[in-house]
Amino acid sequence: MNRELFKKSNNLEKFTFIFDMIAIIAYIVLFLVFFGMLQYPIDPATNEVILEELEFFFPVYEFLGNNITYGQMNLIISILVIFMVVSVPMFVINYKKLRTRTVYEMDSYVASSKFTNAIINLLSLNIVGFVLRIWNMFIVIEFVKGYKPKDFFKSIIPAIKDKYKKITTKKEKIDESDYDDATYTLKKNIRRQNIAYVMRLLLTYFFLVFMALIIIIPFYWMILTSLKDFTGAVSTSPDFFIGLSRMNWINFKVVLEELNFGLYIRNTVTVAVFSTIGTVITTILSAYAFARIEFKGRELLFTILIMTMMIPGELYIITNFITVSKNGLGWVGTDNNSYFLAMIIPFVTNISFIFFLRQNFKQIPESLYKAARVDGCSDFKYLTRVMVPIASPTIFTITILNVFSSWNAYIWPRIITGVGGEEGKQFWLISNALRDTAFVQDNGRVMYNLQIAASTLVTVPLLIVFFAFRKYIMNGIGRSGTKG
Amino acid sequence: MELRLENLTKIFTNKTGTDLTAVDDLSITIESGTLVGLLGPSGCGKSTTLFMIAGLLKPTRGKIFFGEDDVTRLAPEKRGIGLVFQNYALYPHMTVYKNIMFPLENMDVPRDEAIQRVKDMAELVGIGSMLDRKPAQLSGGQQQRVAIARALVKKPRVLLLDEPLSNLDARLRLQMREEIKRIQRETGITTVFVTHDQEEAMSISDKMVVLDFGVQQQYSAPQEMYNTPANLFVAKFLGNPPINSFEAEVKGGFLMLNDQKFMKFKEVKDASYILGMRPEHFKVSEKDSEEKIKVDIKDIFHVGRDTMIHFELNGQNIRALVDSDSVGDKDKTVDLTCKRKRVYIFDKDTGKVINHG
Ligand SMILES: Nc1ncnc2c1ncn2[C@@H]1O[C@H](COP(=O)(O)OP(=O)(O)OP(=O)(O)O)[C@@H](O)[C@H]1O
Ligand SMILES: [Mg+2]
Repeated sequence: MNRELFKKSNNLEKFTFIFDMIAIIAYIVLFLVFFGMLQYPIDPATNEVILEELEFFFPVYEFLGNNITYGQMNLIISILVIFMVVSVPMFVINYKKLRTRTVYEMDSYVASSKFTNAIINLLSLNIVGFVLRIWNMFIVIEFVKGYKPKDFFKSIIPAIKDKYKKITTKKEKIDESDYDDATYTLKKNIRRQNIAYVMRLLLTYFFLVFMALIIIIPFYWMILTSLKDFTGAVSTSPDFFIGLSRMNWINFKVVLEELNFGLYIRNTVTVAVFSTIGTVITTILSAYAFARIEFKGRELLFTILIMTMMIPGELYIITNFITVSKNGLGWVGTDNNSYFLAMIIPFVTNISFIFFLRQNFKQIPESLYKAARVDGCSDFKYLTRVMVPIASPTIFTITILNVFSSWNAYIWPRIITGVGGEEGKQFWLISNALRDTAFVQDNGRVMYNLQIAASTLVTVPLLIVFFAFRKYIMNGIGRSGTKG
Repeated sequence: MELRLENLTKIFTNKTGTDLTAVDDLSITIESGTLVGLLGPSGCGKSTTLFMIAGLLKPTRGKIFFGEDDVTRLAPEKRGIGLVFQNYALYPHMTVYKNIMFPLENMDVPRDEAIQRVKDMAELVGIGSMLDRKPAQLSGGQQQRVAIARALVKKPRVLLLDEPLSNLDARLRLQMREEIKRIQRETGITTVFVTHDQEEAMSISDKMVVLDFGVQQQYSAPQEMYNTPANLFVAKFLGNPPINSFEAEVKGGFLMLNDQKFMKFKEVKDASYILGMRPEHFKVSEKDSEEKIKVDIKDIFHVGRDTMIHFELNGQNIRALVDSDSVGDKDKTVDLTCKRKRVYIFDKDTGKVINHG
């Protein structure tokens, strides 16, 4: 085995990543540039968008001295989005593979996956990546099979011939009467089992595909509708596909800029980030205390905490509201509102996470603590240097679940931002905005395509997070139970 | 550095209020630079003793001295000890390098010196080429060496090892045993080595302590303990195959075996005793010898150089290991004898050995 070749292939792959990165950055920048160029009809009097005219507004854009029609613009943006959707996951997967693949896992499949990647590179106009990957493919082939590129091409035709021969020459049939009874039954059983296995496999996959379709179709429909124009979205005979140049990316721009979803997303991110930081800190500290530190009444205190989990969260809402309103801390309903405080502070701790992490901490062997003590490590340092890194998958799960629940929070933010009229509106979170924004034309028709575009904007980040970290999420849901 | 335990006692109180004396009034002095084996059956208080020396458990009574200093109330990190746990307790998320470096991070060792020390220590225990691996990527023996390196890198005054070889296979165990002995000799650190494997303790220690239910049974050099056990427990605990023990009477100064007069013990009073005789201390006697006993052979096995004979003494099955040439396959009976000082007579109630000169 030639480790030099393995190393060379890996280094080349690393080098290719640079160009992948450049390509991805280029896609993003171009996307932002073109998306930024999009225009929507504006009422000169009020300086607001005229929703009625949105679907009849076909401006001609100018880019580097070329005139681009509305349809071409949509086409360009669609292609850029497709490039991003393909190349980013590809990059992440390749990166993971590079880090984990050992010299023993290098086989012909790696070469073929390099080839596929190269083709994708070519299609997404990343020519350098294409060339490097093809080169890399030959290195891998040499590593696995020992063929130099020339030999490889020469070996193709004999290999095909060989395969063809194998398929065409029939297997010699053995007379079954030659077997004795035991062998015969054994063969029969093996055959029967094989058939059952194949059937089971088929059924399983059929079922999985079916379920996947049930889940995927609504998402597909959502994205599709969000890109249609109003007439298309409300049509009674809807299209199942639309061409790339008929994708109205302007919908997203209107939602982000004119319907203020940019602001709402920023608000939500702010709340999610701070409440998650708070939750993670309080969870780690209290889980550590309940798992490791011996103090009087520990079990009792923990039992009381666990018992509060049985009270439905809605019951707290009124008391919590009184606490933050002008009769309590005065965070809302006064002259001097701090909506963010009111939305974040009640959610900087979570009992079920504490329970979850405590169980995890308890599984870390006591002897590690003793070893750390002997090594002169303080409690706090032990927590940060040993416990937290070991429990980091769980902590990560907690983080993500908490981000999810902040992202989905509805009732509490709705109540808080409902106080103070227009001022409160500036602090809407996306869930409130989705519910309460008026996607209405002046003549009273609801712009469903815009509404769906807003939903897409809100859902897609979650989907990305989910796909990126599904291992951790399933882990957490499996153990702590769903909480919404 | 000398290590001295004075009347060390540890009593655990359960939630129900019952007391359990894990270590009972243990007093031993471990000379500087020696390796002492702490031996005893499972649950006899070995780990407890070790953790008290380490400072991880507070003794209920008694004192611990390192040299002249009373360290009974000192925090573990200030005692300058290195501890290797029964399960190694390596930090699973850190590389070998970081594991060994960890204790130094908590001391004020200059960075360059720390790195040098980690490298030297890794070389000493023979894991120099594995510094960037995680513990999960090491074999049991390698993990154990990392644990030893981590314990030694602080340049401790005392090294404490809690059954460090219990997870290894027989061959690796032998090898690591020698390795530990070598490292201990090279560094000259006073070492306490806990084990429940008597053979291991015998082969590695300069001196051994045997504990039973937290009570010290005997403290002496291994061979001495083997040859002159202080009580029945020690005699039974040491040796493989185990010692033969059975009831026997002394009548008129004679030790009676199978109603035959075996040996004369003038100093021993006439009474019933527990007798201990190691299989390998039996010999086929010379024709003219006085002190012998005729036994009926029940079974005979050849094990290489030696021959194992099974027979009965005072109604008890006894094994003897004798020279192959001295007994024939067809022999129905054989005359056996044993050196006088290798016949151990124990008190029937206390189990204490009775000196018979
Ligand atoms: N924290 C504790 N609380 C109560 N009892 C304990 C505690 N730790 C140990 N014991 C008891 O003290 C006795 C001695 O335990 P110790 O761990 O010292 O045994 P050991 O000799 O190391 O055994 P092993 O060879 O199995 O490791 C045991 O009976 C054990 O049940
Ligand atoms: Mg133990």
